[in-house]
Amino acid sequence: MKLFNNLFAYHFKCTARVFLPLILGVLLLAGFTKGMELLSKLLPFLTALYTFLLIISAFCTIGMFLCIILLSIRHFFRNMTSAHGYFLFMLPVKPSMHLSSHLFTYVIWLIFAGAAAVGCVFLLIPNNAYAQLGTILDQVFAVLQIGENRMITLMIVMVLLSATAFMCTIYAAISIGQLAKEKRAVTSFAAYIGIYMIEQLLSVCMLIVLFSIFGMDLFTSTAVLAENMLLSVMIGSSVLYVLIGTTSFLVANRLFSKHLNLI
Amino acid sequence: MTPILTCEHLTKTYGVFRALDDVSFTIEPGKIVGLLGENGAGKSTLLKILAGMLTKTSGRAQIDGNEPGVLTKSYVSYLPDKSYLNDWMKLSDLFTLFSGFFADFDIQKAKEMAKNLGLSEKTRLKAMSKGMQEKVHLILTMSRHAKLYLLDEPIGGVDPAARDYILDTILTNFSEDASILISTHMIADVEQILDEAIFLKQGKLILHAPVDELRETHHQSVDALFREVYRS
Repeated sequence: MKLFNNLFAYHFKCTARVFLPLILGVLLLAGFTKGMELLSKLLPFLTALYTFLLIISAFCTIGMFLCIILLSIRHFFRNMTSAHGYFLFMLPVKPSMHLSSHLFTYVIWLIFAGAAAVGCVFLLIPNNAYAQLGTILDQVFAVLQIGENRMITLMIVMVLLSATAFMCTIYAAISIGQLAKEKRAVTSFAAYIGIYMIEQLLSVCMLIVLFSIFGMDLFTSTAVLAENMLLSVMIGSSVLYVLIGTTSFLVANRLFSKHLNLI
Repeated sequence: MTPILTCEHLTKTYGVFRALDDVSFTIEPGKIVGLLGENGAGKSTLLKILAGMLTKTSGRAQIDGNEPGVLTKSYVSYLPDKSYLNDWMKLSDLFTLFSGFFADFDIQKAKEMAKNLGLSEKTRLKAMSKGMQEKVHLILTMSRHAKLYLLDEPIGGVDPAARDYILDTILTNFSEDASILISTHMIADVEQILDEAIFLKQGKLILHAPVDELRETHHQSVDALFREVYRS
């Protein structure tokens, strides 16, 4: 456990150098946009500037997630296939611990980014739109016939599971890519495409099965998803994410344990 | 005496290319062994396999009775031939990092070595010259109380004045029951500290003998013998 903590602290420190200023920057921009909204009510000529900042802030919030995902992949790729791998693989820890420490760091940053994004949304929504947003969400939950607390909890679990499963597939792809002597990034990308195709195939199979359970056809039915079915789809997807994530993790662990090929 | 390192028919292939070809030898505790050979002879490949950075194709390698793996990494100190550290880290950060991961890392010894080599603990790696960075890597490697040190070209990128200091550092910073396998093609510089020499050529082991025996038998220095062997 001590080694895992040390590894996590190392990865957190390495990534925090970029991620922390990124998250704080996006929050600061959202706060500044909020300030501009208030100011534009007093000085209407600032409305255009506020609108511009609002659009930039919204893009930056989405971009923050994209950056965290891409830079986490880069961090892992660099650590496991380049000269930096000499440090990690010199340590007396199993490859599974390397994988889980990278994964844990990534999930922690995703949670931080998620919390920051919620903060940004609340800051970016104009004051007069809060009530409207509440009404829209109530209508959505009413149509879906599902309790909002249960829906939000399920959504958070699903997002975390899918994000984790996605990163595990990336780890598996990189573990396949490192077997190549040259062009490891290209090989990893090709491996990811292969894994993605298998993942999509499994998703379609799962949906066909679920739809048939409810007496519907995936390709021809146009009915709105009922509560039970929606829940089934969400639970089915979660199970699939766990299955794909675990398999990918095991593949990556096996390849890094038995076929490590640092150049 | 039980060997600290045993290699039996060790082979590593990349497709049809044999980077290591049926290499067998043993090293006993307390020996400094030179792993000598031209570029591409398989020196780094052998060290990487022993350090657990590369998997062998066939054969057997055992370090203190164990196959290279998680356990051996706790008592093998490896110095790769390339920089593997984050350049934004300070020397003091690296000492803390290593002491957190290696139970045998002697932080006091590391600090003392850094002081003797004129390195400031507050300096970031990126602010250091290539030679200074090599010294940092060497300090981190030699500050461990390991059973086996695997050094891949430790004096490759440093000036001649620093070479003597580094070799002296290696000599004075390993315990008597530990062994060192040092890969280099700067034989004249390391010859003075070697107990044994292993010659690798195109992945094959062509010679393994005590350095004194080589000098007596061939009536020349190991450096001269190396030139003769690799010229033909």
